[in-house]
Amino acid sequence: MKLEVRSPDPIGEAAYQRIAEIVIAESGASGLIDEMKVYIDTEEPVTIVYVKYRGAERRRTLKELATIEAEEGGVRVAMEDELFAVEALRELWRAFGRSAVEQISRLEFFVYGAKPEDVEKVEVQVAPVAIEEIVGEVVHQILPEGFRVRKFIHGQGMLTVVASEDPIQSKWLEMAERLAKGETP
Amino acid sequence: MTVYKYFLFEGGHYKQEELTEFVEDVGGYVLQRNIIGVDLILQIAIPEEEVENLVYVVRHVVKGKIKEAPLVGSEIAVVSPTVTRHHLPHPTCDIAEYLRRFGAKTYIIGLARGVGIKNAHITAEEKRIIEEFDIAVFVLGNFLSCLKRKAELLADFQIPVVVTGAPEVEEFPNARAYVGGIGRIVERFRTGDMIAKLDKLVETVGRVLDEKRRELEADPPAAPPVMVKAEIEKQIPEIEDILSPYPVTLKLDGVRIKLPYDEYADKIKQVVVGGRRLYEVAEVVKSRLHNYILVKLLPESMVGTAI
Repeated sequence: MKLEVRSPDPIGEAAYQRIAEIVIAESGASGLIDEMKVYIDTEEPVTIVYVKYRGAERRRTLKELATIEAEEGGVRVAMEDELFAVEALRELWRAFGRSAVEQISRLEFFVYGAKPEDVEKVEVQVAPVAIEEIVGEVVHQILPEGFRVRKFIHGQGMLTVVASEDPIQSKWLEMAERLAKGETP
Repeated sequence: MTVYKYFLFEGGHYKQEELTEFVEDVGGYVLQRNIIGVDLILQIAIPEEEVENLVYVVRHVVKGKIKEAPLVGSEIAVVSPTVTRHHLPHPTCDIAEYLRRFGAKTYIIGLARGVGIKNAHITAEEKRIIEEFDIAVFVLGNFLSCLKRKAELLADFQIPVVVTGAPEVEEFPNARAYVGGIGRIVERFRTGDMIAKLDKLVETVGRVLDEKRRELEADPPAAPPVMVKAEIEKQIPEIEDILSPYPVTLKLDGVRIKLPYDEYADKIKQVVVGGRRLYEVAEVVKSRLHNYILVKLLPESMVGTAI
């Protein structure tokens, strides 16, 4: 993960570098975040956090998420993690129709008339909302608490937050764009 | 008036009666007794002229350890911009806990709207609550420009204020002292250099308290707060039923009693200290914290003679 904190105040910059490192490490999000850039200027006053994170639209096959066994009359699917069970059921309904899929327990489905190789190929979206929530919480912990006026810019696997105690100015949004591109804000 | 010095004793239970008897015989007080496993920790107040004898008794008779603890007998407000995860438990709780290790009684106070730069402010009520304490430690952040704006919050405080923040500066407006290197952090103080910063804070707070004690000596309280504490504990049996820690908390110029004001104020006013009723030598008022009772001793010049 690449982390970069910039500020006109070198002491504040060093302090926030440490804050960001610890918040990310303690949140367990270091595996989710590819890149984070933080810019803090208390004279403006503005703080911009740009995060590029992975797995936002990640899709995994049922082969990766469940135990799939052929049985008489169909296929039994046993999910390994409850987190993906709802999404998996939705995808099975979409692929085989509601009448062909029966939920036999909290984590188990039976797909009538299907072959294991067809069921294994079904793709499930891996809880993108949960990942966004984790990243959002990390950003919230890093931002100075007093900067409560916030503009969130969401993108594909990307979140930019512009925070201040004043109404957000267009020049700060331009600074955020430059920060995201790797230029000097 | 007797000038007291404060000490922390650490040792075993062995011969502890000899130590407590010595302290009482020379007119001192055992302010607090903590037993942790087989260790005994005592906070002791002793007349200045008996310090050498106390050190002799501890080292040669009781075989324990003793160190001077300038924070004993003080009540300190550790003030944070808020009480959210941004400021708690680190560094605010770490600071409060570390000051306690040196004998201070600390309260953490979070301001309602202390965050931000231009938006940060402190209400008159918050100021009055903080001014009930002997000294306030304001835990501020990492940016110098932000700290300078927040210095305005500290104007007109009637008690000494110590400020902590990340930048290293010599002086801080409206504060008696400033300790750098302690700003907004999100980790425990665990490394040697971080603990050294806390030690510097303890030293600074101790120095400011000593200054305040010297200021008080010019016209000292009519009775030593340690004596008032002892008399209240003797004469008000309900003190023993209080579940809060340190039911009678020492302050530099009085005590805080953790009993409801409306019910007990009249009883407290009638406590006899050195032959005089407490209401004659002190103001007994309602605290803004939990309806407690605050006893603020009047200076000698107002009472006539010292007790």
